[in-house]
Amino acid sequence: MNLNKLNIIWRCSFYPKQAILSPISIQKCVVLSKSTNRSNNDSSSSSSSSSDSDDDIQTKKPTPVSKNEETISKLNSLLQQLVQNDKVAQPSALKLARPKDKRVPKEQRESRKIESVEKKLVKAVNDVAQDIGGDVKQTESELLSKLLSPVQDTEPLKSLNEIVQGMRIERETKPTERSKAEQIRNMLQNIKSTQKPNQTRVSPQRSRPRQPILRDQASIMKVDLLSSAPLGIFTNKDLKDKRLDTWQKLYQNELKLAVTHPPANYFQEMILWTEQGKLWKFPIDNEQGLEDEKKVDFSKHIFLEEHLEPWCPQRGPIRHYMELVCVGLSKNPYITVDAKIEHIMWYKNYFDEKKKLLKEIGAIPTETNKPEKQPEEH
Amino acid sequence: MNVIKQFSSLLSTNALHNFQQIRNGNIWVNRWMIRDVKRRKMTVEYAPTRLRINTMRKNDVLPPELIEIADQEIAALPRDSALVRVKRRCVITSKPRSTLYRWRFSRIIFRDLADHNKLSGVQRAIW
Repeated sequence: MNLNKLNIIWRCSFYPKQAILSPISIQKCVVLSKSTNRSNNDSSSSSSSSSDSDDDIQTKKPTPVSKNEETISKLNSLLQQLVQNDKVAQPSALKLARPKDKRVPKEQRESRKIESVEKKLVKAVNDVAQDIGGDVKQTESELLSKLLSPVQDTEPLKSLNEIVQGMRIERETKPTERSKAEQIRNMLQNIKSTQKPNQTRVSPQRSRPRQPILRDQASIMKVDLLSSAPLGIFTNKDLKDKRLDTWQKLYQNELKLAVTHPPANYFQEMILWTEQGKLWKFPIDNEQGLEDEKKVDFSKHIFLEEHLEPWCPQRGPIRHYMELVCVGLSKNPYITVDAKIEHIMWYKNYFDEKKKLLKEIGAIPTETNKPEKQPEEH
Repeated sequence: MNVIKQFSSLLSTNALHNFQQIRNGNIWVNRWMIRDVKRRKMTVEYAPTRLRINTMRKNDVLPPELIEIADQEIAALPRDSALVRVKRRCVITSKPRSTLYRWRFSRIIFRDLADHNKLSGVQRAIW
């Protein structure tokens, strides 16, 4: 199929199918195509094939009608093919399972609505007219005009209001459905009304649910504790002045928080910790926080026997034991001199408490035993 | 002590997320931890006394009568003052078992922190 034919087909496809099928229109198309092709050829001879076809057509132009008919028949057949192809391209007639389109077109919906409402109205009016009797058509028309006229819109609203009012009254009469807030409000109103006897009661319907409320009212009645003189039962006067320290502490804490600001970042937090003594200061020193201990002489840590002299017996198992304790303490770098002395003093107190028993045992040499014990231990 | 203070502050913030009220100033995780804290305090309180009496008990210098008395004294002290009664617990979850006591965390907390690169100076095992 050369390009010229294709061009014709493409151009014909713009026309409706009936026009395409008629030979006259096709002739027109052919003529049209020729003219267009010529113009195209003049402007640009890009494709060789198209130029060849153009030459063919130009040569065919003066030829008799029989050849022209041939071309027409060819074109017809082509067009028919095209139509057939179109048919193929159309959606297949196969019925496949598909979900139903549940959407109702918008116009239909609206029309249906209006129709339904109007129909109902008309039907209702008709029924009413028939019920009334007499001239049915006249009453119907009157009713319809009344209903559909926009002037009388206010009247049904009024009736609605009335209905709502009626509903409200009904609701108020039910005592079970009342909320707590309403009950309290009513109670307050009642108290006010009792204080002002001139006020008339608004509705007689409220009288029924009031009775239980009156009972509640009695329990809620205010009691002024400080109005009368005290009975003098509670004599404990200290209770008056007592205050909880917790509130004071909380208040102080709040004040502190109001003044001080929390650290803005981690570095500031670290600085704060260092100031509080939670972190090591630089340069690192193992004896940080032991400033008092630096003033103490080294010898005081080691030579602890001097603390034994005033109380410890000169010989015997207790002396032996205490000397061992002193050796142990002098080798301990982790505690202060004060702690070491305290340790020794604890033993002093302990042995003082058990002096009697120790003497009975013979651990503490009495002056009479002294010469006897010495050889035994050695 | 520094570490304990830090952790206590950490715990207090942690406890705020619990809506359940916790006694003892919202510091401790559960009652088992509170019990443990009580024991620890008692241990600290009685530690010097116990040390001194125990040293008397465990030597062969002093006469046996005195050692017997020391035994009785140790037995008379409150049980919770013994270090044995103290349990190593996780400071976050109060889990009593599988606690890595160098960090005072249970293995689960430790793993979580390690996964999020929040344990400085801890290296993954490599061999």
